[in-house]
Amino acid sequence: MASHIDLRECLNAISDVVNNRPSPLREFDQIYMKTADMLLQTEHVGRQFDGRKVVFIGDGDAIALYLVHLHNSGLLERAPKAVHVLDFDERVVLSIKKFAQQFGISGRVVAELYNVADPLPRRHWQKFSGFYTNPPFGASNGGKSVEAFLKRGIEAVGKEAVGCLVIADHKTLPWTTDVLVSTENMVLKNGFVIREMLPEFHHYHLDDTPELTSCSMVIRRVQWERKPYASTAMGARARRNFYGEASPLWARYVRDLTYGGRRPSRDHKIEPWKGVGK
Amino acid sequence: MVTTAPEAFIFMKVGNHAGEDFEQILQRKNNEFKRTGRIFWGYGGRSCHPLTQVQPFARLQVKRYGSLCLLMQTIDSHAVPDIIPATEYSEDGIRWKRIPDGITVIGSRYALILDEIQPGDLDIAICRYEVGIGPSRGKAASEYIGRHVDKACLSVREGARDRRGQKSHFKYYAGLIKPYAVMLR
Repeated sequence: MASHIDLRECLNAISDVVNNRPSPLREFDQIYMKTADMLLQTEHVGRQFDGRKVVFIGDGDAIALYLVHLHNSGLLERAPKAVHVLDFDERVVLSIKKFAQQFGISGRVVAELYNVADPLPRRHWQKFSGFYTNPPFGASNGGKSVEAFLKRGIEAVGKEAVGCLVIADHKTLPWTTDVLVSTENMVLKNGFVIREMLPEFHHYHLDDTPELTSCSMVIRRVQWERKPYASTAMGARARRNFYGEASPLWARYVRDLTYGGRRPSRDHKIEPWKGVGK
Repeated sequence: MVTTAPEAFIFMKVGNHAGEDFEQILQRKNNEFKRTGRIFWGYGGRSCHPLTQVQPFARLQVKRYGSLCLLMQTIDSHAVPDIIPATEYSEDGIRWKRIPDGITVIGSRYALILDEIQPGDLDIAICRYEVGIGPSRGKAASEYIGRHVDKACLSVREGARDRRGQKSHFKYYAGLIKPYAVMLR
């Protein structure tokens, strides 16, 4: 059952996080979810992850921060105990650390640089009780990019874990159905069942496809055995076709030239009034 | 020369831009081609990202059909972007090179890399095509191209035989050459 929320307070708290995020990079399919949908998603996953330690396999949207910030502000009844964000974009990682420090939630929020093509760090193997991912949607690769992120989420969680996937879902775009089918197959093959599905639940800031929606798929682990560490790097072929046939995963990390806002931005310059010196 | 409807192409609406009329732009671009052997055809917007859409789409179509062309539909456009010439371009977003001498690209974030632009006279039933790559893949081209979208990577819909329907007229075309599309700054 949905929790009660104070809309104005929640939107203002969401606004704190939105204001902290770096600009999305379209070349990496960083496409932000619309604000109202993020609030609904936060409330939804807060219930699913209540009291859990959750790893986020990529989190450009900053759902991890919404969860902890709203909960810490008394605006969300249920939320994870702790969140750990793995992202290949240093701007995302540093903006999360800065926000957590500023709002006094560093004890519940960790962020580190990681690319899904690398093996999952050994220290994270089966260590979490939940995972969340909103991966590149895989429009041109049959969902292979979704599978890459899902694989790391599965590797990072243990017994009775809960996962949440945000993937494309739109009735007029047939590729979204193909990706849903391949993702559901992978979920089942890995000992999970689908516990909840909110179809066509989110909208995006996407100029050329404004109608594109995604679903929230919540899965629960029903088969589990402790296994020794066995995470491996993504194969060369998968990397070559990561974004689609002949469209490789070419970037390992995005580096933040402002070092989390401590150094000046290089995307603007100031033009002074003539004759007015400082 | 493109005389029949291709299996795939890049669609783009073109017109006056940044204070130049279209005929002037064509002349300047073809002069650039004579000097440098290629044309940087600037564009902007969110569709047809050079790295995630144009380059992979072009690689696939070139592999399949040997070439890929840009078909230009002229419209009454008065786009007035900031008149700032790009100084560098990148094929991968990582390594940046100086724009070659003799080439000027104004007010654009991206550019297609073309060979000579040629006049043509081609009518194509756009309803036979669909978006070939990206989040709108599979969407009918006639629905996709509209008020907010003026360019697209298009391929023939599977099983599309009907050549009737509303035709779009293309007066100019050019082949894409490697690296097909680049980012500018």
